[in-house]
Amino acid sequence: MRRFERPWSGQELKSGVPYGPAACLVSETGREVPKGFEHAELMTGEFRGEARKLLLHPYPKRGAGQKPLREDFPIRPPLNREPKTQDEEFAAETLRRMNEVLARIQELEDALDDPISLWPRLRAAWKRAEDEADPRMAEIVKQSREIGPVLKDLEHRIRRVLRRTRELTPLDRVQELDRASMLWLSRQPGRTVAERAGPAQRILSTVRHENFDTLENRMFHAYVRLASLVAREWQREHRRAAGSDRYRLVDVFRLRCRALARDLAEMKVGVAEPGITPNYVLIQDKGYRTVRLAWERLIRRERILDDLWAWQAQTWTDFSVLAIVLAIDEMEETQPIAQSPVVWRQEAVTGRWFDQDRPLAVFWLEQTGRIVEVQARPEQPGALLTLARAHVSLRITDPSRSNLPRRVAVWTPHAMERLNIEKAAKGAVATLAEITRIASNEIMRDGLILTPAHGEAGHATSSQGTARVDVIALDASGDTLGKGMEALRDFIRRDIWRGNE
Amino acid sequence: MTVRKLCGYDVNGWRDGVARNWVARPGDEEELGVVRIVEGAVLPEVVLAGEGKSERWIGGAQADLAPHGRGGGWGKFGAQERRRTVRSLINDGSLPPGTLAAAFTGLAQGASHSVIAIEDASSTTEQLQERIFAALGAARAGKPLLVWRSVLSVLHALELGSLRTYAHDGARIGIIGHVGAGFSLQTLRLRAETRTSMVHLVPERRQVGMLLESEIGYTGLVSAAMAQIRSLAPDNRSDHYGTARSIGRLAFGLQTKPEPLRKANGDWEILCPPKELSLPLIELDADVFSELRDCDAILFESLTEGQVRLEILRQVQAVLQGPLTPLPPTSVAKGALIAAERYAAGKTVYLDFLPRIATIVQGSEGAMHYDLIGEAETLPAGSLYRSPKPARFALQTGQAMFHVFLKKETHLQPRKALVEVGSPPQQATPVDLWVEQVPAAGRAKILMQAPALARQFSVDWDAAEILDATWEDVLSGLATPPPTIPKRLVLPCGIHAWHDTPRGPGLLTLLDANARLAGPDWDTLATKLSARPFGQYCISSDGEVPGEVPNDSLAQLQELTWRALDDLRGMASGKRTADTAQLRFLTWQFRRCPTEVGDLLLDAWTARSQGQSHPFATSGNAWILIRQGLGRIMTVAEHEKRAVEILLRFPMRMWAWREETAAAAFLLSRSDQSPRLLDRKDVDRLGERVVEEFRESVGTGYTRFQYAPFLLVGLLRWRLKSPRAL
Repeated sequence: MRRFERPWSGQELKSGVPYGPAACLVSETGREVPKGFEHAELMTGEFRGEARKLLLHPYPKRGAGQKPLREDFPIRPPLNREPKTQDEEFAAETLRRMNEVLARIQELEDALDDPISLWPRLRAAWKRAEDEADPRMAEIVKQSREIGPVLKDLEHRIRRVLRRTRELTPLDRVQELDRASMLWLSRQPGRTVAERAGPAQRILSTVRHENFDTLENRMFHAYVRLASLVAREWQREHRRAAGSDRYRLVDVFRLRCRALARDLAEMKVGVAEPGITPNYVLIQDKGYRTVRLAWERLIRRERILDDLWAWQAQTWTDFSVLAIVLAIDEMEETQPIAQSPVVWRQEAVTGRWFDQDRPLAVFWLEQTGRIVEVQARPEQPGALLTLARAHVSLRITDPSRSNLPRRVAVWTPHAMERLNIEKAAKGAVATLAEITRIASNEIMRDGLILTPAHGEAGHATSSQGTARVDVIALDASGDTLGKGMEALRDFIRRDIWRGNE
Repeated sequence: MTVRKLCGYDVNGWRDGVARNWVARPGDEEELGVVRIVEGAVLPEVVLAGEGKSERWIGGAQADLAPHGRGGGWGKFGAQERRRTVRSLINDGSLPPGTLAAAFTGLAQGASHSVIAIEDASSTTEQLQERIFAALGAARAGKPLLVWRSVLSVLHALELGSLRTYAHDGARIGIIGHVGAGFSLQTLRLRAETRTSMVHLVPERRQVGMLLESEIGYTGLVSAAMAQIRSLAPDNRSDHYGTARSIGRLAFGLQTKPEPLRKANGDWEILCPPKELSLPLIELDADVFSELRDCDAILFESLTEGQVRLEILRQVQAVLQGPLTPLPPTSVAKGALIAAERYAAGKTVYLDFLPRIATIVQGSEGAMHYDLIGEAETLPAGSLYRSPKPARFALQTGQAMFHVFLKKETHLQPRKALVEVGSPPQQATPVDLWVEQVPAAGRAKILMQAPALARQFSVDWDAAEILDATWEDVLSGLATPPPTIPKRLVLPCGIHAWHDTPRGPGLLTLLDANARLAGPDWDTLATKLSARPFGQYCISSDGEVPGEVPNDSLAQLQELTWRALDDLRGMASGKRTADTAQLRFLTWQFRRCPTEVGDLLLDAWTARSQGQSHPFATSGNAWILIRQGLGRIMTVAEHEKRAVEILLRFPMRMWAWREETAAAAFLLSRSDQSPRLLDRKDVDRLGERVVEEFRESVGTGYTRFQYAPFLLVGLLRWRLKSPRAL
């Protein structure tokens, strides 16, 4: 296995040197992947009859991992801890960025509601995401709105049960005796009941006490605790939105949840574990059922969070592809010709939320006279893409001529730390310049790198011979999203279409 | 009140669309309460996306844009079997409902109530309706309701106000709907619905829409457009031209644009489609719309636009008297949303009729046609109709299966269904058959219930045997002959009793001897007449004598008869001492006996029933003779009537077996008139009497069991009056 810090890099990591937080966890193998390595296959290509597989490895869950060796990675911040150290702050920031990327991708699902105007609707949503003072919809915001009134209702009619216990009770208060109480009584010394009751004049009898520790209340307790933590996390991630209605709404909701959690704890209500089997009340009572469903949604999100954290690079690739498609679709002359249906998954698997067949999208630039195909994770990448280790690309053809089609390699490197974009441009262009010399049925001169900006938008260009590479650093929200998309639009409008001759 | 998500689907396979009242906004909450039209595609299709486990059918605009099934140039996803037209899915029921469901989910998902437009023509079979329901179930489209396009057009026109002055109770609205094969014509009447708190107008549908075939139906338009596009192909390798989206746009009058097509080898070719469709030139007959002549307003509904629409409108208008109100292409989808609003609010959407279903029952008149769905019944959409009066069958003891004949208005041939009972009943059991159906919601449920068995069966129309005969033939074939009527009992006569035997003289000898005597031996004569050697009397119960009897003897018999009658008269008037011998002699001659005897006996009987005595009644046994004798000789209708009256007037519990029972038995079993004099009540009473006598005789020596069987047979002869009586 050949491990690389960057997909375009020609230099592999020496064996024994672990991947660090600045590295992209990619590697290349032959047909057989060595056993025991956590990986996802990005692309399987061939060069001169030799199979080459491009693999992606997940970020380690506990900071470090074996097979492949990974060290010094940030740990996903747990929900119930405020970040204190610098490392924790960094991890929390990474999580925030990841959530933003997820939010942009999930907006695609809503945009699919009207597939005819899919891209304009998605573009509008992304445009709004550039304004961080106006936070986007999130599960916790939705729940703040929907569950708030339910909490108020449940608070007043929280279910209670009467539990029977045996206690020493004054004789005149005894209402009920069970078998055990009678046995006890019979064993007391004395002939009459009064004698047996002893000097305190108390005998053992059944008494009923109000008790709140029922399954539904335990679930309720678990929900309010989880919801307040999730709300806290959301607020932390959207500090810039502190003035917005949604922020206030979530804040109010969080405080109410916290207060309720305190009350429930005082009532000695336990906390339910995830995966309980709902009882009659949880299924039939409207209030409890609503809360249970909301709880399950939050749990599901928490559960897949580990998975999403590990596979952030995959999510980033999907985000990058959507950004490219949006940029192409935005051109006036663009006409969509074909687009594979987006099949949404119930739950993300290895960081991917939706399935799409190939080709992803095909556009016709009517005036320019070009047809451009957007491809991601291609099934049969040509020799050039295999060598470039780029699993996203644009294929440009001229329908009126039979010239060789052109290929634009797109790398979507994701690392925990920000990439040095100038260095990346230089490295990539060197690889590309080498590849241009290889004879093929395609021409590949241009390259594009889309990488997370970590709050600092940037654009770098580097060329070597006929090869040229653009690096765009962008984020999934805020100003850096706007600037990144602008740079991407510029790249698309640049002279990548012409100049075959 | 919470606003519910409502959806009106117009999935027709030509140009799909949906109207709904919510919008999902990416990154925001859903917006409810705004009407939004989502257009599907022209000539919509569904495609199979994904591979292996993630394989899924996708419809709507995504399918239109998908490269799937568009030819080999698109790689492995270009395979033809990955793409199917919605049209073929609607018409072909062999694919799982999930495939057709994709056509719905591609347009809208998550509604709580959905209304789906269906073509108002006989081609919308009940099976098709069920297919759509199954697809909607798979699409999770909430509570579904199918509504005819014609009805939806009217609902939309009402909402728009295009009906103006005709929007009132009783107005007749004609609808010309553009469909695949041509046009569908329907007339609906507006009704003011007062059942709910708010009065609103609902269309009432009373018949299936009539199909008017024409070349400018959608099929014709599409094939014209197809031919026009294909003619642009430079060579014969032009399969990719068939997948051009321009065909649909051209056919439906939408603006066409140049379109790159991918050839089988992956190369591109730019198609520059013609601007306009050259419509097939046809002339509509002047009287094709005669159905709509007396309508107050006529609506025209079509999915076409632009020049195509104008041209079709011009052709229709040319042959139509009166003004035409054209509705926009989205009117059906919008009408469906209005219907969904009504449906969700519990208001009547429209009134519909049900195709009639009939069966055959056996009644007193034989096999009869029996309507399970009443004529002229219309009922609100979505409500269940149940036959008001179930047809009732009888299941015989031990019967394990039985046949039910069924006829539907929508099917030409009647059917015969076999119903298995499972456990045969221990006694005759009534079985009720009824029909439950919701208008435009698939097949009727034909149910049978036997309350006594606590069982319910459902009759499967589709599995029933199709009969190659008309309903009338079936009916007449079932007209079973009425049950047999026991013949009149005739006791035969024979010559044996006339001749001498070793044991004594025959009647001939006796007649000869007594005729000359002044005081004939009536007793011996009577005994001879009542004798029955070899089961044959001298005189039959009809009064016949054997042919061999010489005329002389007959004359002697006649003469003796007159003399006996004289004696009898004397006795009646009290001039002579009473004796029963003459009476026996006379009455054993059966119907040969002079009618006057009957009068005399009836008088005697009348006297008896009034508690008086009579000269004939010399002893208790004489009464037996009077009654039985009367029974033997009765011939005159008048007598019979009197006798029956007297008999029935006499309380039946006081009947004696040899007297009244015998008389009744004789009367009913030997005469053709007496049974006719009875009515149902009398028969029941007599029946009870028979049962009683039977019961009394059981376990005895059966000495008294002589006349009851004859009475029973006599009762069966009541079938002379009522052919199917028990």
